[in-house]
Amino acid sequence: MIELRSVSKEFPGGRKALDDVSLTFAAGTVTAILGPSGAGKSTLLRCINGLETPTAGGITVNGIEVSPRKLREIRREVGMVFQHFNLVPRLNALTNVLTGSLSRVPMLLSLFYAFPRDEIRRAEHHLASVGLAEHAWQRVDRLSGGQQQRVAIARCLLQQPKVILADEPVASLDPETSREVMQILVRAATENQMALVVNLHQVDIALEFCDRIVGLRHGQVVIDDLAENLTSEKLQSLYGQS
Amino acid sequence: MERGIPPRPRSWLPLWLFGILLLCGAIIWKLQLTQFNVQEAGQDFSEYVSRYKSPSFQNLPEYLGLMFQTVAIALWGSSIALVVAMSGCVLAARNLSPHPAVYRITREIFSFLRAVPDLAFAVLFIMSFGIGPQAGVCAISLHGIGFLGKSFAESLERVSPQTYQGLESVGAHRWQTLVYAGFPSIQQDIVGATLYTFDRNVRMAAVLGIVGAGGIGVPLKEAVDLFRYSDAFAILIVILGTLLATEFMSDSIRRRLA
Amino acid sequence: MKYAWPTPNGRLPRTVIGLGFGTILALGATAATAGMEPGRFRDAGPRFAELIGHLVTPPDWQFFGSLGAGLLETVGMAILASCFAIVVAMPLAILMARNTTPSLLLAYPLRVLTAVMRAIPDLLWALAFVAAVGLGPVPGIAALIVTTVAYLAKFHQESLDVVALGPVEGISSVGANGLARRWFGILPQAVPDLVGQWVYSLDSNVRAATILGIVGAGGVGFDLSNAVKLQQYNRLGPLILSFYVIVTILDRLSDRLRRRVT
Repeated sequence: MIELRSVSKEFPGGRKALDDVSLTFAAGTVTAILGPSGAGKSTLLRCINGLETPTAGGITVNGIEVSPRKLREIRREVGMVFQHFNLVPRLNALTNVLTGSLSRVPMLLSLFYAFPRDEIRRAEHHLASVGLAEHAWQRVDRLSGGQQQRVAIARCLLQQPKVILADEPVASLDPETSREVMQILVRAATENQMALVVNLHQVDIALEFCDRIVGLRHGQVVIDDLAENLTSEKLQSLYGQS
Repeated sequence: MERGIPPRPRSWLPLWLFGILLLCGAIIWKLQLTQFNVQEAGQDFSEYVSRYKSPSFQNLPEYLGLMFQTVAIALWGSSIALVVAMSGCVLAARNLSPHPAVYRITREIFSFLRAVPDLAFAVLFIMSFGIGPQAGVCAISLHGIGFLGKSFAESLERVSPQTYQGLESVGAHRWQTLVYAGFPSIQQDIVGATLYTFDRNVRMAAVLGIVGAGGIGVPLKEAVDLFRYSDAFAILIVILGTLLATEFMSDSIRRRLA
Repeated sequence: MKYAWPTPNGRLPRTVIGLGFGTILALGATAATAGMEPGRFRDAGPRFAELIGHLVTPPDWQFFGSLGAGLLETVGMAILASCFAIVVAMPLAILMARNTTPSLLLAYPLRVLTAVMRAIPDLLWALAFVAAVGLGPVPGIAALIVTTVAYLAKFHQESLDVVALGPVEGISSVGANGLARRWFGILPQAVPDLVGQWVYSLDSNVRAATILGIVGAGGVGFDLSNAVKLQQYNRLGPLILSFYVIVTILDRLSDRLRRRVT
């Protein structure tokens, strides 16, 4: 579903964020990316959805080569879940979910906030599936952090992407809410046969919810294994002093 | 013994005050205001005010009609300004503009329109339209486009980039990003600035008649020029009532939306 | 209907419909009064283009001396008026604000008075002052002072009104009397706001001063109305440009000042 071929990314200052990374992510799998901060986790995701352009190597998503010219096409296939939710605070929850359909609904009508009825029905369904049916008409800035992230997940589902990239989706939530949100996210992705790639800094959550763990360190892949095979020594080598 | 509190930083306030006083003195000297007799002027003014004894409401229907025209000029001017500013502000917001050059140019156009007083525009438009309310509407809209355009653009720049990023990540078109992330986020600023502009425009439209651009200012200037003080007094009362009413109205709308 | 809005009943919210229809109705009802006839605009178009063409002529270089003098006078009037108005508006605002006034019986009449002073536009004040004391910058300055006092008093009052009472109570608990409490508890907290309003008043006074000359109240507006009457296009262009330049310079300056204070 996603294929990275020897991807490197060097920033203008000479710092190497990604160094010859080759990975594939299959549909219906859940992968956690772990690593100390500054290891290149965010850059990896940003390269996949075209926010950054790799300095070497290539990426294909669902058979489409990622390039600046195909940005909107790629973004339609790639759903994003952000640490700070990135919703529109002043719009209600349902409208925020409906923005997930913007790339395929008629342009002119969408500028007047009119949506096809079946998109609205689908949005309501997704909102119910993340457990927020009764909050549909609330402005999202009145919702709690966990609820906001669930709205963002529903938006992502309505987008019907082949791939979901989640950048620290639970970093600003408390432990209990984090588990809830991760559960919803993982269930949604596997049910819809999407490839889910999650950046995380909590090892316990990664081990609990993800099938596969990729460890990044200084921009290089140092671990790539199933979660059940992972030993604490291996993890230590990821975070420990070099 | 050493004191725990660090010495108070040197205050520049006295220097500032002294400088301002010096500047004021220089201006008074330069404009030759010292020759001006304040007491005499005060007497002149109170004598002048005393001429406004009793308002004459003989022509009240005419005044009310022209006051209505004044409000109509303000309404049309504000509406045109709102529509143009809403469509143009995207180009003048640094984070949404399609190109830095477009950003600079539209910003500069807005600043220019804002800087030129509406009365100056009105004078120019009277040269092409002739006497009448059209010149007033055009002048007020031009100035309003500048004011609202710049203020909307600045509001759009203050919206958090994360909000825009969320919309971009679902593959939304640039216009959709604006309509779903931009405008809802600055809705309150839009309402506030528009009400303020309308308020100001009613005020402005009331004086535009002084240069011949329609509205209540036309008979006022005439009455003052022809020393018909009771007519002028009546017109002033009509203006005053309307302006207080619009200010009260927009204040209460603002409070309800806040 | 295949399409709907994301609202509980699938229709546009009533407020949106009401606002939209209301505006269209109001604009329709006032169209004739405001002179919105397409014919007038068709006729005026070419004449306006011609006017713009006239404006793009080599400027009258001899005019620049008197233009400079006029601009200096304009700015001088604005500075003087702002300084006077600040001195008057400060005590007025203290008497008007909810938490600093000695008595609400004094505050309310003052609020009404300033509201009336605000309601009359500065150009009308100038018109009256010119009629009373004659042509020149003095009636202009007086008109600016009246409106600036009225606005500043309102703005100041609003900033004083919202000052948090916590620190104020702290001071009264150490036994400060009423006046001291007002000055030391409330004023310092409002200072950043107040300074911003002073800068704004200077800004808006320069703008206002540029046009007061149209009714003979001093400043560069006098040159403007002369140039228009005599159709001296080679003076009109530089005049309008100078408005732009002076207001832009002022904008930059006041932006910087405000940022230093807040």
